Amino acid sequence: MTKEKAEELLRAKFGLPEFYDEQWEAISRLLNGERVLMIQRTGFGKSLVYQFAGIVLEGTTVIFSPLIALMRDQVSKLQELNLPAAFINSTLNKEEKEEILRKAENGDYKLLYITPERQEDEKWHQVIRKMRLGMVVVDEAHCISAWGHDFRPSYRRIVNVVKQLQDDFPVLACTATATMRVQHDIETQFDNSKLTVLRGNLGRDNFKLNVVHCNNQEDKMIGVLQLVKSLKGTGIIYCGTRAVSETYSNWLDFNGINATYYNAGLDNETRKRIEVALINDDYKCIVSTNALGMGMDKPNLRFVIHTQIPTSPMHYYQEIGRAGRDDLPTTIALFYSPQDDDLPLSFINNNRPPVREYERLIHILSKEPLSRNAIIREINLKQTAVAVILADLIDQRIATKITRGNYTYYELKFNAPALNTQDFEDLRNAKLADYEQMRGYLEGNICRMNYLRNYLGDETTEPCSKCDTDLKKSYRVSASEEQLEVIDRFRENYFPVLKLKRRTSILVDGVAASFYGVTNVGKMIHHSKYENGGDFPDHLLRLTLRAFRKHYQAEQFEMVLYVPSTDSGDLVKNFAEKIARSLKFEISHGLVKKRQTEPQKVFESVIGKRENLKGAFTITEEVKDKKILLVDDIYDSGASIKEIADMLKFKGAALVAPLVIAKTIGGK
Amino acid sequence: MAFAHAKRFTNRRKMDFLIEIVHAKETIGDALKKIKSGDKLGFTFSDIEWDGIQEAIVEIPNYSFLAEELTNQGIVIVSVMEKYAYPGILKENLKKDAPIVIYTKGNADLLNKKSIAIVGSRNSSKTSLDFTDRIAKKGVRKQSVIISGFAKGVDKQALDSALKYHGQSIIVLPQGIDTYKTQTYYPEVIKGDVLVISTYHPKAPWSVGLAMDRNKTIYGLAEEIYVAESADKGGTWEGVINGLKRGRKVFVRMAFSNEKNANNILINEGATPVDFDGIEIRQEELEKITASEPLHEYHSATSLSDKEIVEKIIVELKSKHGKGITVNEVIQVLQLDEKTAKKLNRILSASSKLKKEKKGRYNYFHLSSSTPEQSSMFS
Repeated sequence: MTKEKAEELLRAKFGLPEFYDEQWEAISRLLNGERVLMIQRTGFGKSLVYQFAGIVLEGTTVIFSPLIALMRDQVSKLQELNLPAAFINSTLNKEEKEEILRKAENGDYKLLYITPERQEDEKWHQVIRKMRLGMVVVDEAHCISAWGHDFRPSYRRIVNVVKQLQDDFPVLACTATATMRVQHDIETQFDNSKLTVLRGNLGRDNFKLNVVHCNNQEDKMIGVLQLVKSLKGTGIIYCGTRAVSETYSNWLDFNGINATYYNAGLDNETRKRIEVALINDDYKCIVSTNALGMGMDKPNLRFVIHTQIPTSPMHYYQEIGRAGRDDLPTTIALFYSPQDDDLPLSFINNNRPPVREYERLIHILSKEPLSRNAIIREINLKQTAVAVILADLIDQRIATKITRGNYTYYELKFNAPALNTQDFEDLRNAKLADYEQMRGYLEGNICRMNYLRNYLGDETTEPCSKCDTDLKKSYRVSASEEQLEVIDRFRENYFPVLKLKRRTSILVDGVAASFYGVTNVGKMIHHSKYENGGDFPDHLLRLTLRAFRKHYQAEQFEMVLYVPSTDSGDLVKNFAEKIARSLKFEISHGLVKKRQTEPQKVFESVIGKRENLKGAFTITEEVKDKKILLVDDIYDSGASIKEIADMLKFKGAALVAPLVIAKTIGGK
Repeated sequence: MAFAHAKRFTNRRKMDFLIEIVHAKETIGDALKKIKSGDKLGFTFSDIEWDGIQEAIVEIPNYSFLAEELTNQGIVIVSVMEKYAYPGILKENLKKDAPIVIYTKGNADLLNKKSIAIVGSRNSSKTSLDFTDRIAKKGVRKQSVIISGFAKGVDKQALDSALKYHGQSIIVLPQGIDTYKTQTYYPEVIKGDVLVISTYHPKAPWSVGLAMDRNKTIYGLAEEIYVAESADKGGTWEGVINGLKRGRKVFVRMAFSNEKNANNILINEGATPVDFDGIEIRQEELEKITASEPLHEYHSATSLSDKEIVEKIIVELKSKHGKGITVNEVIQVLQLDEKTAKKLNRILSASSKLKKEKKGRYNYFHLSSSTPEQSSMFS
């Protein structure tokens, strides 16, 4: 096909005038049955390359992408153009999925987007074996590489599929973020002799990059607030942890800015709602962990602010890359205070469980194949730790993950190599070196855009002349007394919400008086619980009552119950009595344990915690149709509250509303 | 893989094609690429074979997904084109019937080790299972891998005994490797003591046909074949008969007089008798034994002359209303033991009252048209 012919088709099918030279080069190679790795900046138009080639090539093009939001956006746009496309991911229900698979098998789609995890699904396998395939596309190809910022074990299987394909079958891998090291890793994995690399200029000319130095977290809160107030349009604020994202969202809200938070702790429905709201500019900003934004088709994000330094320039480039896809001026700011190194360093250093846990897991698996949950139960480690170990074992070809119908289990492989801990060490050192590079960005010796581009492998010395370095500016925040008072007022009136509402449960979203560990509330609880400090102090009572009034307002409850304690005597009982008395609700001592349980902290995983409590509670009083306030001291996994609510639902209660003193900070 | 499972193409023809490729010093990938562009590489494809191979080429990307799925499970695909991994003995024994690919899970090195197969019925007697155990023990001591078919009875005994004596074993599946659940022998598989193999499409479900067919692979892989117990039909029986046809030496445990099985018939058919320890019974010893005690329950008191045999068969055939009779059936019906199948075949073929017709693998004897029964068709 000539370029002229192709552009004629482009106008007819996509309503676009012409291709960039780089786009056409990639397309013509793919139409010729070649393998291409395309490294181009966000907004370049990578997706047009595979969409166009996919339409022209005979058969269905399968696009592996980890980005659920991107799939949804692209497919609806393709459908508007009357181009047959669909996606399969976890957001579809069973019927929708089966319908799409049936049509795919029938050859009804030219473009089919799927998540890499689909490669583990048996039904998908049945279909893929019968489909006429045109091309395979690996989007976000940096996920293939452990040296990348977002390595995903499920991509390994895609690499293996590509290896099995005959070499005249077109394959496109694309990414917007790949250092030379990642590029070489992808080349090696895909067999370099057959892969053509098309690397473009990764500079973002519309970005105004800035670094803001702060002395402490309070300075940062003030600085972020002032900056957001001064900016036009909508944007994203990235935070290091879920708790911080919630705090910042509330802090902005407290100061009259329409913000909400987004993190992996929210349910699917809520996340989807927030994504849509962001696209519709319903909020000034979304405060998020790095869970948000990847592949979202929002061209006009006007700013990205980081309250936490990322672990590498690659992460940073990727996260800010989501903004300003319309090429209009876009503000990028990184806030930094000296204490901020702790979090990334702890991520890097505690990334992996100790080697002995790997060995234990291997030993457990040498006896029988087990599901992930069975492994967690047996080994008593956190899910995340088990997930990390399993991913490493699969990566090192020691173990494998097999799905049969609805059952997924892990097996050791015959002839498995010994665990290679040197790899872990190398990777950790590489990550520490990457972090040093990120710290280097703060210094501002050279143009910040060039600093990032050079890191990624772009050879350039041309300054962007928009960053604070090029403009010879240096930003620093020092909060005034007055501003600090605002922060104090905010803290006294900020109560973390416990997201517990589910369709199947009688629980409503609860409230905590504070985060454990952020303020001195944690210390007070610890003093009473573990240092014989007597009852929880009245300060906690007042704070908890304030949280109640703010969250539940004038809601009336017919009964106050408290979670019976395994290891802290009558502390919670006395506290609940005081709460009930103050609110003039009736206290009940009827919630008791039917059997002895281990203290929850013995169990590392939620599964372990849940099983420890399964059927452990009962109620000695009538609760039918009652609205119940449930009091506890610390909220962590929520396992006991959920278990109690299930039991109360069974006994006929109408509603359970949790009220706790502190919520633990939890993960990312 | 796509080629191995190409439709409308027999195994023998595929092998012919592969031999051609090897001679032309091509890789299968390059050869298929040429075929895709219409080059027949000098091979004479029939029209349906040509369609079959073109279809297979279109399916290569699909097989890439399947291959990945298998690789992920630790299944290794061994192709007949591989010089070292593919067992030479299989090519020697099966020639062009050797499978194009073998799917393996576990220690694939076992394919190239010394081996014996122990086979037998699903519902074998205690005696047969004890025999199996002894043979397995002996095999393990000689460092042979024990090959079995993963059915109940003798197969399972062979496998368990091999492991009991710390030996190694190959399970030959009568189904696709991906339809088999590995849980049972999992620790042995990952330790390398058990290898599971299949020569069928990975998704093929278990079937009687495949259960029969995989005997070919068991026989092909084994240096020595021991039969613990066989009925007068079914998988074991067919396996032995086919093995004998291929000129293999098949060791069959000689049955005691009180046993109800067809072991001794197989010996009559040409299998080599062995005693309870698997030691070959020589011809002269065999005669001694048969003189002193009856061989099996089909033994008849009186011996029949050739003429008497033919007459009895004519009576039998009349009751069968046109259906033929095989030599083996004759042996059963007349409870013969002193006549070998070969001898009987000669007697029956010589008779003008009977005619021989080959149907599938067997010769069937019918009443010849000169007999009155045939003309009654027109009455």
